[in-house]
Amino acid sequence: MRMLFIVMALASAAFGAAQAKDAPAVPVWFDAFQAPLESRAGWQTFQAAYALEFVSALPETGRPALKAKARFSKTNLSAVLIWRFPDLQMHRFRARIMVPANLPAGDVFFQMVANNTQGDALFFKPYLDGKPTYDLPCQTIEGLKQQPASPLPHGKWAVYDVGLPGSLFFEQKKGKAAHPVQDMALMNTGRDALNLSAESRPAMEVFFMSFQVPDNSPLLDKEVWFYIDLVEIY
Amino acid sequence: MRHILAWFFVFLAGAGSLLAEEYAADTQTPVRIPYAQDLHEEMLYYVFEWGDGTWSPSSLKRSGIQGFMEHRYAKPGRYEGRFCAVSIGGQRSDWTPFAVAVGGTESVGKPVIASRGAWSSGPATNYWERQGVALELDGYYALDRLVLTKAPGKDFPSHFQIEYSINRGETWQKLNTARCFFFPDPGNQQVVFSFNGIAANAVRLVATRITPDSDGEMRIHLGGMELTGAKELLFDCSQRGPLIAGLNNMWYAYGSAVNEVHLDYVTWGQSKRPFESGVSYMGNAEWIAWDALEMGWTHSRELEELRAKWLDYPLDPDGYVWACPGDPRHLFHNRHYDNNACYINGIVHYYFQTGDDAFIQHRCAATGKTNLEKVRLAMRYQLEQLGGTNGVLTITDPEVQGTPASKSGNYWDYYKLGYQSAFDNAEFYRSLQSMARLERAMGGTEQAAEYAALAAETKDKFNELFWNDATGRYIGCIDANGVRRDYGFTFVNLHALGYGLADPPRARRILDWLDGKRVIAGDTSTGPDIYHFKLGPRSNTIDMAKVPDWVETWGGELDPARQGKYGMQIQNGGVIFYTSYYDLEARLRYQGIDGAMKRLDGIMAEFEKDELRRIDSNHVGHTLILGVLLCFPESGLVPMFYVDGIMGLRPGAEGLWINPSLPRDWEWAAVNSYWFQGKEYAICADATATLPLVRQEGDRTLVTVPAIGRYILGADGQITKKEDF
Repeated sequence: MRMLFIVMALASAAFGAAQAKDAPAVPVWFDAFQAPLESRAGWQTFQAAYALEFVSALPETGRPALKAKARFSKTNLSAVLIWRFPDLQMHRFRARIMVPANLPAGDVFFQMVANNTQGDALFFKPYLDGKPTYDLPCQTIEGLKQQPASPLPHGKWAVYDVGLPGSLFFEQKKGKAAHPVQDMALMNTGRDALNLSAESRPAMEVFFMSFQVPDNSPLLDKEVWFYIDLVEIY
Repeated sequence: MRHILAWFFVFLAGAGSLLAEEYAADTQTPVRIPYAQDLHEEMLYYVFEWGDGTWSPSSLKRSGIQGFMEHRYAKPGRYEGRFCAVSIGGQRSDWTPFAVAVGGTESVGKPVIASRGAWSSGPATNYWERQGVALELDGYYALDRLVLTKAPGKDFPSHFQIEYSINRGETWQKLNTARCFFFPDPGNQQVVFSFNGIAANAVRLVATRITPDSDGEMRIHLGGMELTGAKELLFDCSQRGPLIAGLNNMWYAYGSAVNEVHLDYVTWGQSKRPFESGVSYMGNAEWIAWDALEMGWTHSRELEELRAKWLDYPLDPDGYVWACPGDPRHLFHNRHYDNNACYINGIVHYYFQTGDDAFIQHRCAATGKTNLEKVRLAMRYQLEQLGGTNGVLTITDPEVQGTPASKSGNYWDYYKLGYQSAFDNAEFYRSLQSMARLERAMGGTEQAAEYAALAAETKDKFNELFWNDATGRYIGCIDANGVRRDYGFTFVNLHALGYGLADPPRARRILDWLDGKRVIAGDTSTGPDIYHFKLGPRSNTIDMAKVPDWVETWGGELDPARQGKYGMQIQNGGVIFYTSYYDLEARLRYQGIDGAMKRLDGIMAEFEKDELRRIDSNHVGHTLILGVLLCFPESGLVPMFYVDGIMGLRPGAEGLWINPSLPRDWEWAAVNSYWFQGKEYAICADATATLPLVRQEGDRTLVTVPAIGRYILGADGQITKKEDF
């Protein structure tokens, strides 16, 4: 029932957004890394990802980009980038990501989890280019399932583009989130004290973008890095 | 039928205006219009049309939060206005009407300091390109308002932010209350943004998302820009440059927090990533002294809020001061033993600063005691329950024994500082001095002398117990088993030096250690690495992973692979910014103004880059590496060094002490709005003045003192020179 509510709520949110007086033809929120100081405020590293750099002009594109450094290990197969954004209803997410050409060969997969302002975790499909080579574990309403995934290409941009609710798998109650990052600095959000309307529904507030490798990956225990040059929320 | 419907809608429209809430104000007092809109829980801001030809947006809020927007009308009259909410996702509420009856006489605004006419950007090729237009000033100004007008026949920018610079555009800082998304068409109204005194020498508008305009071009347009302001800065001096401008802006960011994004209406409310902000105060026990220092000299709503919070602040019958009004324990976890000293120091400072007799004589409903009696009871708790009469505070709480089985005992809640804690004893020492001053003010000469004598004894005991001659610094605590805990606690040493607990040789050894001139064997961080983060020293110089069982990790782990890795946690190799206040105070006391300014220059150079709005993230997603923003209202202490360090303004039993310490190349320095015992002063220390001078300018009293000397400003506005301090 809760799942149905979430799906309806998000579908309704998408409809609501379309009805907005200034319906967005471009993303309502995005980061093109034009202003590194602003970007720095939204991005954090997690698990195998350990550092972020803001590149003013990537040689491949001449455009700014986020360089995420990671070190995978047998026990740490996910390099997660946390992107915090203002509370938003959304119906689509898009990102341009790249595994550099000069990294050792090895499959890197990409998937995403989001949290809403209630702390519910929402799981998205992995990156898929039509040629699945691997099944990534994803939470579904029935439990843990394997979902087909494609490796990210090396040396060229891949576009991860998902719509809601079609690409949304499941929501979990607070406290069971896939990535239980509780940032003490944020303290109590005080949601209970708000004057919210009866039909109000939680907005999204954070994405967890995971670069993942298998446990036999040649990338284990090496310094690796990935690029993102555009993330967009519609 | 069509006519009937038309009349029906006319009637509804009329009813709408009839239903408009009515408010009253005058030209000297702003009107406050309440709001509480929910746009599907998206973050939002409010756009107010005031009915006087101006629009102004609020800062970003959380959906559903109840708050107020203020506006001061320049002319008396009746105004019909309206407001709507606009969400970051582009939703917009209906307009809500209101009406304001404004009395009084016409007021004159600040002068125009820069303006420009119509402007259009070049064509953009991508929506995310940044385009902007700047106004350069002929020097530093305290900014008042930026007025934007729409270009005739063109669209008004929909996504933009206002930025300012203290170095002519070398670096730009965002005006946090001017970040607009899906901004509605203002028509012929002026769009007004308030700076509330921010110091700058350049301002600009930057488009943050460009979409095709009605001509199909990716351009933004403006009809004009007009900036008002004043030459006089809040903190002002003869050496106008990024340092003094930055000090002003550090106060506005982390002291008053007036231009910050707060999810709640109040300036002490939390903000949220990616809009990390400074907050004004906390108000709870361990912050009371800091809050009183930061807010006591202002004439602000925040000070009124603090007064209300402290008026009936809870104490146990034995005098233990609760951690917060709702619970005696820190974060509902355990009791802390710096609460009492911080409470005493804060209430005494507040009383001396404001002269608020009604507060100090107020009888608390919960305890049946006056606030004066509560302060005395809080001191008695330290003396009797914690053994302070012996000159050293000893914590008997079995949970706070300083051992691995214990819990934290003070503000620094990562460490198990307990039993005989140097930090708590430094605060105890300070509270004895506060009580001596308070009793002297109350006519209790004998009690004052007793407290002064006990303070002297405490100082001796402090050095006897906590000095580690092998390392040349103070230790953290002596635990109940007699183990001396020294993990290179910089904050313990800085508090101690700030309060003058060390003699000069010891102070020199401590500062040499912090400055990297002296390397202590076994320390994880040595040399320049102690100030690795530049805005302040690392909290500790020995990795707590060496003593993992002596740390409360609050749900995290100390494992180097986890959140507690040295340098990746505010209390394990990270920094809490407020300690820089004590650092500056310490250097002023022991190295003089030159030493203090060297450190201040380093801090302000960092501030100039990004106003310290840096959220370094560690490798496990936690951002508590640098304690500056969000839940650290104590960051506002650092600019207070200008007030009580450089200007030397400190309220006491005799009045306001003025003991300036101007940098050698400054001819004068001033605080141009300083409230002391109900009156507003502009206080200037002038190297060319030979005698103190007091004169009236409107409601403000101007006080000038020679830059060398010690003076007391009485509550009656009279000033006298003092030899003793």
